Amino acid sequence: MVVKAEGARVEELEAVYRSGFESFVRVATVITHDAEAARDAVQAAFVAAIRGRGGYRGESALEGWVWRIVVNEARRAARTRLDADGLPEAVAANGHSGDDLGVRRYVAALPQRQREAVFLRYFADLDYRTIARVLDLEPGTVSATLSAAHQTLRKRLEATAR
Amino acid sequence: MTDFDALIAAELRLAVPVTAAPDWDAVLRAAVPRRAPRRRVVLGAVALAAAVGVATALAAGLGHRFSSWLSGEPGLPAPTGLQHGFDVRNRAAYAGFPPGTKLRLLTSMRAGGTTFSLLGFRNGDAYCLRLVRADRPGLVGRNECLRAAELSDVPALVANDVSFSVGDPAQNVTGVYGFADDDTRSMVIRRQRGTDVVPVRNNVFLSLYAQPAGSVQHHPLPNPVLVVSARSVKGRTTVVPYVGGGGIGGIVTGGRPVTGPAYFGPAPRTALPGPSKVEAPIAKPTIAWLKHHEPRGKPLPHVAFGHPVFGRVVQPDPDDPDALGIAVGERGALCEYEFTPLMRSSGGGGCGPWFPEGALRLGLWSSGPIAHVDGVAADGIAHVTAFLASGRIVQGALKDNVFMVSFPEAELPGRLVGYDHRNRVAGIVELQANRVMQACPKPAFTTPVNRLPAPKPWERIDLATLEVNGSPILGRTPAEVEAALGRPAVYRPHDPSFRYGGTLPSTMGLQVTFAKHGSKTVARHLYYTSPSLVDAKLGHILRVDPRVLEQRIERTYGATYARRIGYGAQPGLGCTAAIGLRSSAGGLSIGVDPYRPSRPYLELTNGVLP
Repeated sequence: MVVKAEGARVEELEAVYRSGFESFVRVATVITHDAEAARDAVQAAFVAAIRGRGGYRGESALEGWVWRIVVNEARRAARTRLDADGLPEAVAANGHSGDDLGVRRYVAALPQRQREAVFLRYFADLDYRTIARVLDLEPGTVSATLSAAHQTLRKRLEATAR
Repeated sequence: MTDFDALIAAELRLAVPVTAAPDWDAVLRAAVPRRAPRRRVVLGAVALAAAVGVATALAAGLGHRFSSWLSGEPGLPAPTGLQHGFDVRNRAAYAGFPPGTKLRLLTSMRAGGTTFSLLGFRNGDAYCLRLVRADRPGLVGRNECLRAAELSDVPALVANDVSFSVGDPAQNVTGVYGFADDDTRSMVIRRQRGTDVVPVRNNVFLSLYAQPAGSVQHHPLPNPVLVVSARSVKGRTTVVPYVGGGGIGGIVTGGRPVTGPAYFGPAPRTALPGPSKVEAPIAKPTIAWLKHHEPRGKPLPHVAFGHPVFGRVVQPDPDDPDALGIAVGERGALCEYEFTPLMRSSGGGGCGPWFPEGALRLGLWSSGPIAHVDGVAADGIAHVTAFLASGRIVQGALKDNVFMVSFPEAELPGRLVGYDHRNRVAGIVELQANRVMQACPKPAFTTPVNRLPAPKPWERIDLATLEVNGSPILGRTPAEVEAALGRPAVYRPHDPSFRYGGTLPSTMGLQVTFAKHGSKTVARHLYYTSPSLVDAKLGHILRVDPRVLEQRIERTYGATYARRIGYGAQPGLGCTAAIGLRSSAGGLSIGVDPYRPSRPYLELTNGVLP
């Protein structure tokens, strides 16, 4: 059930910002590969959300609407940077060395779309439909994407365990 | 959520640590159009001048304060097994100490049924400590080297915090070790729960603590070190700089714990030391030798990611085996690979744009009591200097565009500054502050209890039975929950949960979260923020300060519950209290979001379910 709304209120956006800040920054970091750029993208996204809050029609949850803005801002920031793959910059900026990188390294090695979906699922705690809206995918595609990511991770972890 | 999902979620949180703090005011300021641009204030010259004076005082060596080490032979020669284990490991390591390095046994201690040996040796200008299991001397252990300058103005310094898993059933052994001067008789190690006093021997100390390692279902509380103090022979106690790296995630304000409930919040904003303005920016920063595939340093061994096209390993400090591999990776990215002492392969790294923010690019940052910051500097950078909030200035090592600089992490925040050959500031990177222990805010209730709306069915609970509106909810299917509590405001089928009282986290009063249990989906958590929540005996329990509420729950429901974590007693977990069911692993937690103190919360969990 979704409540109809005539635009989002600033205090609602503030609540979403405060409760989800870390998740927003984490996912933005995955997209931008840079913690600083990620933080800037999140700030810019909420500036855009406040300015464009009249455009929120309540067809979906407010978090989903905001997430889409955050992801778009992060992608815009990433486009201005060199398109490079690898571990997220935050890992490099404050990583743990040694033998405990297993799952993280495998996630980092996933294709970009799978990686974004995994982070939106586990950091943002979004359902498949919202992830689909955020990433401009069909819900079925999200399910398939996450399923493929799971399979890859399971396989690699099992191989490591052997 | 399955165990596999939980594993991924937990690992990913580690993968992308968030150090930035939310700043809603900045969002609002940016969202509202400004009338006129503000003038920028440039700081720097004053801070630089003040800091330079301090730097000269740091050049002294250990002097007469560490007599055991002055002789070059502290403690006893390491037993043959420990020396042999080190030699084998050192030979196999990519970043090793000089061949023939002789270890000295400084002290040892048993924890978790295992003996740990603290060994010491000199490596050029550095004083090194190695903690290793006596029964597995060939493992990497935990190694840390400090310079005399780092020990010059403190009676003692934590070199490392450690975590080992030993025994069967497994025990987690955590602790700290470090240096202490001749005037220090013992070290006082204050943990989250309890205090340990350990003697100083051979100018070093070692404190270890063992507890069961736990399992997927059972998570023993960590007991991290919070404060480390040196007690002198005359009985004087001095708090030494220390930031825990083992998950504690913060620093105690001013070296002293906050009295009462606490959490780790963002550090207060302070003016950063050192130059703040780039005087001579480097146009198109690059590393020419790397792009031209010049074979500097050592060859890059096989690495697990980045698919380097060409890479080399550079050790910038001859007295520190830490090395950094740099490479041209896929699609032209600049990749870094960390090589820490005694590891057989790269411990981690990352790929990204070459110099996205000027002439310095921060690389790996091994968090712990001693921060080792490394990275790459563009051609044209002649030296790199760290300016720390403590007032200290540390000269970094720089070779073939790779820099490294080490300092106690407690001295952050700071700036890393790159200078060109004319000593002009050519690049600046800010080093973020640690999170700081802060007192939990008192809840701010805006609506008096007598003006709250009457509780709805889902707002009537009984903590004695964990029932809601007279029905058991935990363990029930979504249909059963809906039958008992009414239709939710939101049902999220793919992330199965009900929300009552509102559709958003900010407006809802209750979220019921479901999980798979065998072939069924059943309620696993109840998370309340509704101010109208009423308990059968305690009344409006979310209109009571959590400190008072945890006492009332104990008094009223002592036969059912036992306190596991006092409110705010585990700052790493936030302003929360955990109260467990005596009959099972489930229970409840109560607390306050420090950023939203008007809505305390109560969470109920049935521990019988997976």
